[in-house]
Amino acid sequence: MSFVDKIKNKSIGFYVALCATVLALIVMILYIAFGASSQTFAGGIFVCLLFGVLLGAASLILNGNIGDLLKLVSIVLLSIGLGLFIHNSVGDFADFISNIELFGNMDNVGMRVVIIVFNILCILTAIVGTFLKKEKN
Amino acid sequence: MFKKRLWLGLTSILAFLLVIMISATAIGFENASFINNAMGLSTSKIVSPGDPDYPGDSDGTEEDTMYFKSAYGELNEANQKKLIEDSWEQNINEMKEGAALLLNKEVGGKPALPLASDASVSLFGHAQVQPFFFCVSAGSRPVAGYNPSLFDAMKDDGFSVNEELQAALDATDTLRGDRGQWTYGSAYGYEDPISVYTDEVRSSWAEDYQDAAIFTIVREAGEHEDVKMYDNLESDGKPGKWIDAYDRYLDREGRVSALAITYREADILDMLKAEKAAGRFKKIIVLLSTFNPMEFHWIDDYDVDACMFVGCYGAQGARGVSSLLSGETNPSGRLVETYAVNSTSAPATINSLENTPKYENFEEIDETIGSNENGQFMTFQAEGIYIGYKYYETRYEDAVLNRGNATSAKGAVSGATSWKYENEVSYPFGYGLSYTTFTQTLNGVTYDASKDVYNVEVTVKNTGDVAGKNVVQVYAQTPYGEYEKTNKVEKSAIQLVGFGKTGMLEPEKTETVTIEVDRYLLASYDYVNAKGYILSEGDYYLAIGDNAHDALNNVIKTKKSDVSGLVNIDGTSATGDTSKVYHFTNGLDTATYKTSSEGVVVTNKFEDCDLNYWIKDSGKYLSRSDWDKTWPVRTTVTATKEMMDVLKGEYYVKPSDSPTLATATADLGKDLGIKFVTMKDVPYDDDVTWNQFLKQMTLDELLTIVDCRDGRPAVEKVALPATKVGDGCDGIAGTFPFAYEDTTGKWGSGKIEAGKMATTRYASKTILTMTYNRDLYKSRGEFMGEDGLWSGCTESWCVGANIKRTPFIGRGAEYMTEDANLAYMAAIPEVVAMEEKGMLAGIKHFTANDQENQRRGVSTFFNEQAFREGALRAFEGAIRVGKCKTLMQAFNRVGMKFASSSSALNIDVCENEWGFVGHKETDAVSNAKNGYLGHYATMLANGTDTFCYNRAGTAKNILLTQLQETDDGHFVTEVLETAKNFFYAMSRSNAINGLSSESIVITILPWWQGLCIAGIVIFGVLTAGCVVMLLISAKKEG
Repeated sequence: MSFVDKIKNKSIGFYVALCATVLALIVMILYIAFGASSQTFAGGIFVCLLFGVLLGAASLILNGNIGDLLKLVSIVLLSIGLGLFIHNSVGDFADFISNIELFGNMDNVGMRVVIIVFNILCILTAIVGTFLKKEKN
Repeated sequence: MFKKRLWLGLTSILAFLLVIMISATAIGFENASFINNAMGLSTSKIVSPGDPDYPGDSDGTEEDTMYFKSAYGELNEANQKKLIEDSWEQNINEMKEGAALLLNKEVGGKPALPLASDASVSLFGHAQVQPFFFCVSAGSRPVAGYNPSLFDAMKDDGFSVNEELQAALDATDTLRGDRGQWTYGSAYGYEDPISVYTDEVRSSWAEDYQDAAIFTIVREAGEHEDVKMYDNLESDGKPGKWIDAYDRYLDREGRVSALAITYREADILDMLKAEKAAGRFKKIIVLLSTFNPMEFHWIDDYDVDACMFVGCYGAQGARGVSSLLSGETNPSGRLVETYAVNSTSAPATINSLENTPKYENFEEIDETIGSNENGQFMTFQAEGIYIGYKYYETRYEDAVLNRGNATSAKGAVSGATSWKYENEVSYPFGYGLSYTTFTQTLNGVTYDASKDVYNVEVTVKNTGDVAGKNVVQVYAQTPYGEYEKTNKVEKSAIQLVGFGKTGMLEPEKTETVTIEVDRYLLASYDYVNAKGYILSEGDYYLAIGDNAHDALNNVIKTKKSDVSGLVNIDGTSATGDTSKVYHFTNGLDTATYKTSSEGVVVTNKFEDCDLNYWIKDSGKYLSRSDWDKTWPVRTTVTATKEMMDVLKGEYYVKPSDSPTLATATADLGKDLGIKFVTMKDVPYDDDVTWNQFLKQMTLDELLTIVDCRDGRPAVEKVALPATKVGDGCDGIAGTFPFAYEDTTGKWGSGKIEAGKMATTRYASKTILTMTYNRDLYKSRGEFMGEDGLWSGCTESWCVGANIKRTPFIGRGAEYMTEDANLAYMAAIPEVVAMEEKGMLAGIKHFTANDQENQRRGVSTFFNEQAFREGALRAFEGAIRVGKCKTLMQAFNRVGMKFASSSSALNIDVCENEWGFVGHKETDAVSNAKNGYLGHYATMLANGTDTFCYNRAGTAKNILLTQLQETDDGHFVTEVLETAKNFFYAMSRSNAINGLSSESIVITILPWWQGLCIAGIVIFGVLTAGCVVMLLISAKKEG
């Protein structure tokens, strides 16, 4: 099957999964930039996001059980990344609510919200993608 | 295929939910203390004989276990209602007696205030719709529906108030602070633009509501942010345009502070002045609802007839303001700070606040010790003892007596060629007017050697037409001679040493009050020669006066009968009254106060907090011997390697003869059945019994108490229940247990559900202190203690004793005064009363936390005289005399050592000299794992006991790991001492309520925590199930 045929054979599930992978990549890039500028970069979060992106991308290419497994693991890793990120955000949110700087930096809250929202969107998109066929045939 | 995708999708959903559940549980459990307190959930339960789940049999003896009882009886809804309403009454009384009338001109032959009780008025200012109830910091928040504005209060009191104007103000976009509640110390944006006052709005008072225009001005700041000294800077850092008419009040660089009025306020005042001139308002009244003094020089320019300082209202304080305006209450409050014409003229501003410099080699410091040690900034307190009125009044005396180059232009308002008191001060310390007049007669002074006090007897007579209370202020001047000049013992020309207040005096009635003056307050600290407190040789004067300046004029006249140049605060000539002065002499005495009241020798402990100790002649202190040559300059240094070693913050070193950890802990953990409650009567120095009690606990159990996040978990071994901590100088941020509703309308309206009724927010601490009424100080303590009993708080971080070194201090509303002696005296009744109710009074922030800028880490350099007579003196009353059993330390460094790591502060002075017994807690270290706030072993070894705002186990686990890695058995003695301090304090608190000698404490898991665990299990099982089904379906399809 030619590349064009392969593309034509892709179903909506593929594009949803592709969208999820792109979102995950955006989240990872945002996190790198935010982590560096706010000096809160945590390796564990980065690793989860990185492998979430890589495995998600791999699942687009690989079919069958392997592909499904990679999809699932990608979602789990992105979820862990999200969980760790929210955990690291508690101090900033606490300061934002109280308006007293004690635990973190309230100026970080805006960017944290953006990353969390994108991360959740990415995971939900990926989850939707798991219900859908990647290929028409 | 479909089934596989279905199971794949379900697995991914459940896996996602499982991960989120685990994360949420981790976050929740780490912050469990905070969440449980917010939800009113307990994590322990006291089980006593007779209870259904009490294991074993009782010996049959019934004990009364309510050791601290509420004055309101049993804890029920009706009694709670009475308490709440009485506490609101306290709030109102604080405002009634604390608000200070600053100006009251005659209008139509009568004083502008009071107004007629049915006067028809218009209220101006955005503050009418966004009142200043409390400053940004910890503490109770007034409950909606029960926090009347001035508009509400005046309407309730029968005034006719312009409702159309109020509605117009309510409709504007103006929002004080950047999020509607909070502010970052700037005055811009606080007020509505003049465009709000359209023709239609102005028509609302065209025919009515003209008896008075009442304009409320607010200045607000709070924790972590001081008020801006330079508020008109543009984005490029250069001063922007200011009101041209006030150019003379700018500093020499064209800057103006947030304590000056803004354009918008000036526009409104212009409008009111024009409206008054046009006959539409009979009088203009300004209310200063500010946390700190505002600049005042403009008041005459706008034809203002009356002005009152009202501070922060608290929940119901606006009713007190209304009562004052109507004359139902006669104002009797007196200022506790100096109102300077230009607030930046204070010498203390030169090296602090926005002017706080960095060390010259701050980058090297960061590289050497790590940026997380917060070592960049330093403040050299060049002003020494000359804070507030001590500066202005002392320089005044020297100017009058032509000494010390006092009239030099250095430090004078911008553009002045010489320093003149009347150009520098608008209102002096202790100032305040009344609706009546009083005379005070000094009858005599006697010395009582048995108590080491002077008894100053004063007769007060009401010579006016209405009843009122009068404050009697006693000031002192001590000698400043050759000994003092040679040995750098600076002397304030006048200092408050005692005060009292009459009861309500009817016209023509008199009352004689006797004020006790502790002779100790007349001593000065000589850090050069005697290295201790001395009574100087020479002439002493005890004087009464209407305020600090008036008292000083009396003293100067007594000293020099032919003196000329005395002025009143308005610049008119003053004569001074020698009949109000008692004069005596003393020889040099270096012995009387050589030892403290605890019998410990008092000598220099803070030499290394003087910048000159590290770098010779690097800092010059202000001296009245020559105001010009010693005027403070911006001071910064290059930190030496030795200084950086101190800034590094880690001082604890395991001693070479330390036993092993195993040896030191061998006798820990043996349960002897000694319960925590049985320690309530064991004296602190009964080491045998305390050791028996403490050693029942393992090292882990002993360290459980060091972390505090709004409270601490239970220690079941010794039946210590979980404890809760309050926070807030004017309200403990607790929650009453029962519902509340006022159906009479007297206080407000609305039903507040059980568990949602916040404990009372009282008037700002400044207002309370301004009452100069020890009975009100005491009743504040009683009510805060009751709040603790009812809301379950065993201790609270309250009683802000840091001195207001400048008018810009961000937490000014929480602190008492600029005067250390007044803080010393005022804190005592509140602390004693609070602890008698069983809630430990955590005075804060100990000490020298005199600015919010860079508070975390700023090196604070001073000389020991200024420190002992200033930052330490302010706390000494509560700690040494009031015997409070807990305190919160400061964020700043004392010298270069974090306050929590300073053994000189915590052990030498606090414990040894002052006899403090109890537990000392850091300010919020906020789960620090390292860096400036994370040197836990060093802190514990230097007199700190517990760590604030740490999740349970944070410091404990770090310390346990450290002790195991270093095999440090010596440190176990520090842990035992820490635990002893903590348990001793708790055993004297309401934590013992409900505990009998046979009670046990069982830990309970709050419902939400159980739900979290169940959630993880459920999602885990479901996820696992889906994985299995996924595998099966994959195999079938494969």
